[in-house]
This record gives sequence, C-alpha cells and structure tokens, in this order.
Amino acid sequence: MKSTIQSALSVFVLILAAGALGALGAQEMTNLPQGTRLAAQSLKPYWHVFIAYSVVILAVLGWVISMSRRLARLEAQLSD
Amino acid sequence: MSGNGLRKGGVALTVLGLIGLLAVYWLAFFWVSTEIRQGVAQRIFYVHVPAAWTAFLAFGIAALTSAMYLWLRDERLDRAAVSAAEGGMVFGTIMLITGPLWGKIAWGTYWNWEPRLTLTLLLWFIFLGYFMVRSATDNPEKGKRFAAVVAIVGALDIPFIHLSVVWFRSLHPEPVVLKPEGPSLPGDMLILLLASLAVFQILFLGLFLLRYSIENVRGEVESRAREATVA
Repeated sequence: MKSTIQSALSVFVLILAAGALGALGAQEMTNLPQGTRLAAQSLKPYWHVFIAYSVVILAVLGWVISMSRRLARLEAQLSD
Repeated sequence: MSGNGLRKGGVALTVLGLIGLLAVYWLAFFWVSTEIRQGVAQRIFYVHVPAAWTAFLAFGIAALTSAMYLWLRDERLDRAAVSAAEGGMVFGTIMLITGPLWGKIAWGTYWNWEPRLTLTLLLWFIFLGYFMVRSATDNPEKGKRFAAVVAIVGALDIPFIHLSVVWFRSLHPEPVVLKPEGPSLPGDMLILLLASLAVFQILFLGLFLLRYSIENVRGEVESRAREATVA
C-alpha cells in the first residue's frame, strides 16, 4: 500500500514536470520571431532538463524509501 | 532530542523541503528569465549547483564529525558522520548526473576529464570507499576509525574542487556567486538559486535527521545483541 502511494506520487510528479516543461516550451516558441521558430524546435534540451529535474525527485524519494525499509527491518529486529 | 523527536523533526523538514522543491520547480519553469545563450538547458543550473553545494556541505560535516569521533570516540559523532556521508553521496550523485546532462547541451559532451569534473568524481569515489571501509573489517570499531580517516582525506579535496576552475584552464565555468567581487548573476536568477539552495539544505537536514534516528535504532539493536551474547 505504502509503496503504491509512493510510486503514484513519483509518477504524478514526473507528469507534472513534463507538463510544466511542455508549457514552457510552447510559451518560448510563441515568443520567438516567425523565421527562427523552425530552427529552435530541437527538443533535446527539454529532455535533458526533464531528466535532470526528475533525477532530483527520484534520488530523494529513493533515499527515503531505502531509509524506511532499513528502519522497518531494524524495528522488527528490536521487537524480536 | 529523543529518537521520536528526531524522527518527527526529520519527517517535518523533509515534507517542507519537498513542498519547497515543487515551488522551486514552478519558479524555474514559469518565473525566472531564460538565459540568452544556453536557452532552456541553463535551468539545470537551479538543481545542479544547489545539489553540489549540499553535497560539499554534507561531506564537510562527515569529515568534521569524523575528526571529532577520532578524538572523543563518541558513538553519536560516528552516527552523524555516516548519516552526513550518505546524504553527501545522494546529493553528489544528483550533481554528477545533472552536470553531464547540462554539459551535453552547453559543451557538446557529457564528460570531460578536466580538473573540476575529475576532482569531483574522485570525491564521490573516496566517499564510496568510506562505506566500503566501514564494512570491510571484522572489528566494527576499527572500520569506523578507518572510515573516519577516509572522510577527512576526502574532504580535503573540496577546496581544490572550488579553486580548480581558477587555477587551471577549464571547460567548467568559474564561480558566479562565491567570488571576491560578489555575484554576477541577474537578480531573478540569483534569487531562485538562493531559494533552491535553501530548499536543498532543508531537505538534507530533514533526511539527515531521519538517517541519524535510524543509526540510533541500529545502535540499540547492536547493544541488545551484545548484552544477549554476554548473558
């Protein structure tokens, strides 16, 4: 149950970040002069930003999950 | 502070940090201005730099508490050292992943064996060694002492990482905030960087307290096991 909530939270945050980047991309494209829009349509930098921002969330959540597992194991040993 | 108090404080700070992180993401996507030469890729700066500073702070705390552990032999100092070192590894990993992602767009390559990148990777491996040394000896006390020395040696690398871009010709840009003549960033970028830095510190502090409380429980389990062996 707990891990399902954690997974759902991670997916939600990733979707949120993807949506925000998409919105940002669209906003920046419309701000460009007409002639340069086609040239600026590489999505590579957006993917890199998306991955970088996702890595932060995944690393922090990963550490939290790892700590909660260790704590549960130690508390089980303590109660034995 | 009691074990429960530490844990509650850690959870509260971590939740606060995660909320702050979402706020930083929102500001980075919708508020801060776009850098004219690098475009959207420059936004990686707002997670890469705070992650780096947090990692250096964590490794610095690990070294300081390790030195004090070698002097005073207080278990609490070793627990603080291992907790900070683990935080340093997490934030150091974030730094080492986000940096190349930015570098590929800015420099055209993910990695370059230039001084700052090489010394940073060396720091990460030294602290990886810290955890290997801790668990490599049969006598846990000896492992803790050896690891403390590794942490001190590792932290000596941090000033060199900071100064390497000044001393050597480097692909990595020179400091834009920590320099004698003051920050050279535009106002909104500096505000977001400082906000992101504060959020990363809060996150680290929260997670550090949680990790420290786990070490306390581990200490209790080990002392009960020793008592059971003696009895």
